[in-house]
Parts: sequence; structure tokens; C-alpha cells
Amino acid sequence: METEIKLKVNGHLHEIKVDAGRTILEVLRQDLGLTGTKEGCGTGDCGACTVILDGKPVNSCLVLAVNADGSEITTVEGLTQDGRMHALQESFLKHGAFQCGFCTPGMLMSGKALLDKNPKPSELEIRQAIAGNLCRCTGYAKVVQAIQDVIS
Amino acid sequence: MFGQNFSFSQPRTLAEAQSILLEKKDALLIAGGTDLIVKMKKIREKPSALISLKKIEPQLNYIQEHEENVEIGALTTLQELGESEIIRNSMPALSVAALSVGSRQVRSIATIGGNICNASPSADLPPGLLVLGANFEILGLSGSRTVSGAHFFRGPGQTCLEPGEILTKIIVPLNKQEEVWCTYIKHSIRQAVDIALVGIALQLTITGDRKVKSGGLALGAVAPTPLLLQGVDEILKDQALPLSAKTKDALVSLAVKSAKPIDDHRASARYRLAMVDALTHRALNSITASVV
Repeated sequence: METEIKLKVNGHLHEIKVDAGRTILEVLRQDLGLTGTKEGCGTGDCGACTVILDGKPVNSCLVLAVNADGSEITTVEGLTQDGRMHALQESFLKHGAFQCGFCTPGMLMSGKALLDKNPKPSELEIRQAIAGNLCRCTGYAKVVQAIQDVIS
Repeated sequence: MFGQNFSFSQPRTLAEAQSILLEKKDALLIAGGTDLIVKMKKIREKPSALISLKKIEPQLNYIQEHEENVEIGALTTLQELGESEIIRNSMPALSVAALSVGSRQVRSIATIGGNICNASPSADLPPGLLVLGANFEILGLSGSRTVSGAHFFRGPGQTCLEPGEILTKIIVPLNKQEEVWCTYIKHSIRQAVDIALVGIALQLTITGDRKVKSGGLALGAVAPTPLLLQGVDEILKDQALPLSAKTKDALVSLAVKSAKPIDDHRASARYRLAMVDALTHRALNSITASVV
């Protein structure tokens, strides 16, 4: 049975019909074509699916679209504004804070969610903020440095 | 979600939620969903209907300090608990416990009510709630009732909730006459995104002349339910700080004797018992070092 929901994604309002069982991860990737958000585990453990929902970082694989009706979502695609990359994205590039890149959208969203609430986090706070973003490639050091470099 | 076919509702009142719960067989309540959605994906739960508590009014998401207690709405998220000034000032062990769960992403939506009602033996909030004497307010079919934390948990994944009942509020008493010291230690393999191998909450209530008035010890992950130990007051009452080695050893022995861990893929029972021993010492030392 389909319900119509409203989602504001990266500033744009979408009205979509969804089945109750669909997660916002599926809706973002399949219905809205925003494939920057990745599915790593599907069970809320890896963080590759991290998006910002009403100001909070969440695992989009665990949020039912019907439960997010009326919410505002920012995905990694929303970090680039008017063709200009977000400072976090530039810093990740500068520091080489990714290899395969699969965890990277999730890392960026966790980083952004952190800095939005806490503009001057300590290293510990950064590591705690990305504790839910697993990376098989980098060993996290450059991710932490890239986020630190954005602190003004 | 593959293999799942269910209806979804977002009632505005608890009465409405209850009537849907009773009307639809196999209906389940959903709060944050961080446990439930995972179970549904693994087809360990197949509800015919999900009833979201998100839009209930008045909202079930709040932390309110009163003269004699702190009231926490069941839908308060774990991140909110962890960041709350009220909780950090009056019962910091609960914010430690909340922040030990999962990851920032999980805590953004996971709720204290969900952690309690999911009733995993290794859940991180119950041990601290038990030693602080928390009571749970439940909306039954003919009004509200209050159950002590100690009577709430019945087995792995099982609570005293009857069909149609909803946990609405957690009430944690405040003691302004004495000093209440409480700590929660979660022992796990990973520092985040992991389940406790052993959880321990220890509470000491200290009088002005530096003696223990009462205490509480609760263990997680080493029994079918979170375990509030009996016999703690007898060991600790009237003991002067710093506690003697004899007193500490007695408490550690009680903890090890009371724990009933099992072997599972995370750890052996023998390891868990060794950790109960070590962590009880650690919890005692941590509190007595903090009390001036």
C-alpha cells in the first residue's frame, strides 16, 4: 500500500509515493537518483549510508521513508553549492583522505554534522563523531586530519 | 525492505496507538527503529503493522527535572540523553551509558524506551536505571501503572508489557539529602558500534560523614535479563570510605556469584565472569577515587 510523502532533499521539495517498507536510503538512491549515499551493511553498523536528517546524522538504511515524511535531508550531493565544493570536500581532497571512496560520502556527512553543531571539535570529538563510519582503506588518520583542517 | 509487507500508521494519541495495537494482530510499536528495522531486515520480526510513536501528542520526547525525580519520556533519543545538562549533572552514569551505545548516527534516532523494551540482556541503559531505582510508567488498557525497573525485565527480549501496553516514561528518583555516586562501565571488544560483553553499574549513596548509606550493583550481559544484585546493602551499609579490601572483595564475590553468563560467539562464560570480577573492582575504585 503506497503513501504519498513529502521530503525536502538538498533544499528541493519532493512528493513521492512510497510503500511502507522502503527506507530513505532506497528512496534517495532509486527514486531521486542520488546515488552518492551508499549501502554498505544495511543494518546501521557501517555508516556508509549516513545522511543528515533534520540536522542529525542518521543511518538512512534504518529510517523508513514514511517515518521521514515532512523531514529535511542533506546528502553528499548537497555539499556542493553552485558548483563550489564544501570546505570539507576540498580538505578531503587536499589530505588524500580516501582511497576507494566508498565510505567517503558517509564520512563527509558525519564531519559536516559534527561541525554544524561543534565548530571547534577536539581530536577525540572528531573520532567519536566518525566512530560509526567504518573505513577499510585509510586507517582514519587522514580523515581526522582533513576534518581538523576545516576547523577555523 | 525485502520480504516485508506491513501497514504503517502515525497516531496522534496514545489511545489511538493502543487501539491499533489491539486491533491488528502482530502489530508492533516503532520508536527509533534501530533495533526493530534490523530485525525486520533479517526477518526475525514480521509485523503486519508498524505503529510509530513519533507524532504522539503530547510528545514523548522530554527530560524534566523535578524536586524528587527526573522524568524522561520514552521517546527521548540516546544522543539527547547523552548531551542533557540535567542528566549530566544529576545522574551522569546514564549519559555515559547512553553515549556508549552504537554510534552518533544510531543515537540520533535510538530511544531510551526502545533500548528498554527491546530488552536485550546486554542493553546499556538498564543497569544504571536499576541501581538508581528507576520506575517505568506504562500506559495499560485501563490507565497508567508504574513498575520498578527490577520487575520490568522477564527474559531475553521479554518484558512485563501486556498486549496493548505502551511504556511512556522513565522516572529516576533524585536524592538531594545525600551524595549519590554512580558509574557505568561497558566492556566490549570495540570502542563503538558494539554490544557489551559485560556491563556494570555501581551506585554508592554517601552520607556527610563519609559513610555508605546504601548502594546498588547491576550487571548487564551476564544473565537472561539486566541483573540488579541482592545483598549489596548488607555488604556496604555503614562502611567508611575509603572502603576496606575486605568490603570490596565481598562485593566482588557477590557479583561473580550472581552472574550467570553463557558462552556465545562474542565471549565465553569464563571470560565474562573474569570480567565481572575485574570490572567490579574497577567500578569501586573509580567511585572511591572520585569521592572526596
